[in-house]
Amino acid sequence: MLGRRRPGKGDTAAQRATFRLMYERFREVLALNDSTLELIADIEEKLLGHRPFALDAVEAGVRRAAMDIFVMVKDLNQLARNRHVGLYDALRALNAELEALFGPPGAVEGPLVIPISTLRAVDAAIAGSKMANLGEVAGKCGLIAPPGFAITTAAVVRFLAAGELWERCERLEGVLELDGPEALPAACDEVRAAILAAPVPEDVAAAIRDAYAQCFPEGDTLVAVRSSAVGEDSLSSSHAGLYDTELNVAADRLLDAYRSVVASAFSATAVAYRFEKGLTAREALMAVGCVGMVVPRCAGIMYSRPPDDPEADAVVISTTPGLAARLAAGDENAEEIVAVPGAEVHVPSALLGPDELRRLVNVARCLEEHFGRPQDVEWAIDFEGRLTVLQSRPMVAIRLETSPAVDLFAGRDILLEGGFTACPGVGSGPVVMVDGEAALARFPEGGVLVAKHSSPSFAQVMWRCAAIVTDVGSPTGHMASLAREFGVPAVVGLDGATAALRPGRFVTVDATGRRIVEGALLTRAGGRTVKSPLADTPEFSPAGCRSLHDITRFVHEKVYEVMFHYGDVASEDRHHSARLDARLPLIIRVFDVGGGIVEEKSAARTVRPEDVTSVPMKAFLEGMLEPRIRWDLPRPVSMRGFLSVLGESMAGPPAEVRQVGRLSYAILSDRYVNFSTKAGYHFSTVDTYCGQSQNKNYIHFRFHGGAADVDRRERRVRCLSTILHALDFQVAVKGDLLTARLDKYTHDATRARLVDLGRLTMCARQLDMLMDDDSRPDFFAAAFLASEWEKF
Amino acid sequence: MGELRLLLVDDEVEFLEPMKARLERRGLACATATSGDDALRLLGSERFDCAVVDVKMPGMDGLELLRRMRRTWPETAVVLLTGHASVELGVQGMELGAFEYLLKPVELDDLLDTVRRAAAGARRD
Repeated sequence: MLGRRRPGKGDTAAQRATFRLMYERFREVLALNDSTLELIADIEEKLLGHRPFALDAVEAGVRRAAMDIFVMVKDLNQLARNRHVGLYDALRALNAELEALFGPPGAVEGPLVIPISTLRAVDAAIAGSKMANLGEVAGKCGLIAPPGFAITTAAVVRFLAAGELWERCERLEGVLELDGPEALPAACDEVRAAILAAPVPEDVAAAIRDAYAQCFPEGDTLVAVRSSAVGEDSLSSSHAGLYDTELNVAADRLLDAYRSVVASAFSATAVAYRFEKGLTAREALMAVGCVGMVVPRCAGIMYSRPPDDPEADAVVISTTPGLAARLAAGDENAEEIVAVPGAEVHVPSALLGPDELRRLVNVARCLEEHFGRPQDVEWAIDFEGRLTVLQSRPMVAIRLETSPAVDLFAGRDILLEGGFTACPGVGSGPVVMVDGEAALARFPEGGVLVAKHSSPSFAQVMWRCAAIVTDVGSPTGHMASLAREFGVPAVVGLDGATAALRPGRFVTVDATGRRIVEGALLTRAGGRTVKSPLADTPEFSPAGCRSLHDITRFVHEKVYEVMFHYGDVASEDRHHSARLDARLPLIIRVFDVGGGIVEEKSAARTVRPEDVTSVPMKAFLEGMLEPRIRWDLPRPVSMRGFLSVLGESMAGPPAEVRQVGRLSYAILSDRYVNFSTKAGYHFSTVDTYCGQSQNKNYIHFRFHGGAADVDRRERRVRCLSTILHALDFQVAVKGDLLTARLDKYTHDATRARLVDLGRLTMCARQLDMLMDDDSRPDFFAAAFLASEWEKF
Repeated sequence: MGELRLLLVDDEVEFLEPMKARLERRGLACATATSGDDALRLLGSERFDCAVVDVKMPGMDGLELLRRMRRTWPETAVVLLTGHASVELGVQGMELGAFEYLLKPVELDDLLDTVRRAAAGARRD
């Protein structure tokens, strides 16, 4: 592979072997770099994409990438005589994070049951936040906490560990990703049936029986068995109403109810919801609460602040006779009261007396103060007038948005008006009637969901919804909370919506203004972005490597340095590394591993293009030196393009830009070149072999990075793809990484393509800046292919 | 340089014996040990250029053996060979001074190549 190496002073067999090993390790690093970057880009596409993904499906890829990167780090250290051992620490730390993310759920330490009276907020990890908060408020705000106990996550891990239940539960995410939402309900039913039929381990069952006997010494008390999953009720993911509650459970049915609540964590809705939120089943370990039933005269929900105006000094109370469960599920129109502390309510309530209202308001304020943020409180008042708080969790506030400009709706027929804003905003799309699970499974991307009743099960499709409209429902209901979390414009309680809206008809829902007009006035900007853990902007040092991507970049960068550094120190009488003295806006250092430079210049500090004997390098240089590419003249750069590039890079320039400036490296032999450059704001690499045996010939070209906004990068990628396609390359694009390959072409054809690639490398230097609108990619692609290089 | 003296350490005899036979056909002098303690005994009585050590062994594992070897017989290069692709073990092994970290199954030529380089490096140092 080294080609013809000339014998020279000190050029022993051992030195040749060393060179060969270096070269092989270098090539291995490059090959792993390529495959790893592709893997990471693939994973990032999943993480950043609009489609949700199964974490398990990503796991194998990440593990492979981690192992490949270990080999890269090892190779680099072997090449550089352990000069970068700090990378091992960085890699070890990252690997520990990955293990925590992917490792098996450890046996959760702690008791199997805990009485509510001793629970505190810190117990949320083992008792779930719902139960932990319940213990926390008891005695703190002069409230009575209902008697009862929590069955902890330690218990559920014991329960699910038997009979491979856990593995089956975790597989559901994969079902969703691989087989689609249609396959999910059946798979979930199967898993839930298995959970319902599984025996509860004897120690767990005994602990539950003992706790019941202690909390309810009368022995015939009915309890509510309710979910208290870890992470449930957090601000960013409320899980509102996704899990089951079993009411009026007698002692002999405790274990059945327990199984049933645990199983509800694996309903199709719950699995889809967690999937959407990027949560795994193990991040939502199910603790379960057993709470003595309150027989309420009336019950309800209150927000300690108006969700659409969290600054206002008011408490929003919804109430209904009897249990509040139906209210939360959105089945009824509740009585809704806005109470201002210290003021009498003007509209009298049919259910609550002034004194009760005052007490509720006081409790709301007290809880808010205790937890330090507005609360969403479920409460009940029994026939003796005792007020009980059933749960208190952070309120999901409505993000303030301005209503769209009036003229958007001017002259449009208003189809419907009224209802309540569950989540403000505007969305357009075709009307899709949802009257059951089957309709949800078929729900199309961008549809406007219209239903008679609001339901938390809509969470399954919220990421594809343009808007939601229901005939019946309360803005304090579970679905409303979910809509706000997902940012889906939603109007509830809009009487007659299902009757007035025809399926398939395009409408625009103004949830802020509570009206629906004919026609699609706008489309919802799709997708949410998730910050990828693989691509933080790092400090460019081993310790600054905060992601696998960082380490890859670091190694890739350093391996060139090592090759060139080694060239300088390996032997005093030969300088393998030289500067290429060419009329180019790049500083190119060349490193000859054999036959790439004319013999007379093998020890020179600088070489000229005509000294290059490497066939592929000569061709590539010929293209780069194309006189009609006028990089030396000022060009009419669009100000917009410039600002866009500037803005992004000021926000956080990629490490390679800050670090390296404009150094380019070429490692060459008579028939091989690896050319890597960081011109402009991007990285590009050409790795090529061009000899007489056609089967060995190849060109691999990769291009990534860039400082401009996403639109410009996408256009740039489109422009380059078009050109490279036309030049017979096979092109693949993942995110902003473009790879192109040309394999097994003849010597002459490969050579000709390298000339093209040299020209393209120069033309693409500032391509981001030229990509002002969607017509530009085709325009510049055509210009390049028509040899109009002066246009760049 | 004379004949290369190699120590193979692996708790799997089914792996150990065929490997020894193949390496000896290629002109290496091979000793085998089926545990870390075994290996330490041999190292105490003979000199080896290189040891090929399995990472996962019951009792003293490959990393512990590596740690002790670097302390007591630093002139013997250690090549870790494992069937278990683990970043953590790999990192630990390299930090403890392993010459190379190879994954099973390994091509005989690759192993030979590595062992020769390891031995050459160890002799030069």
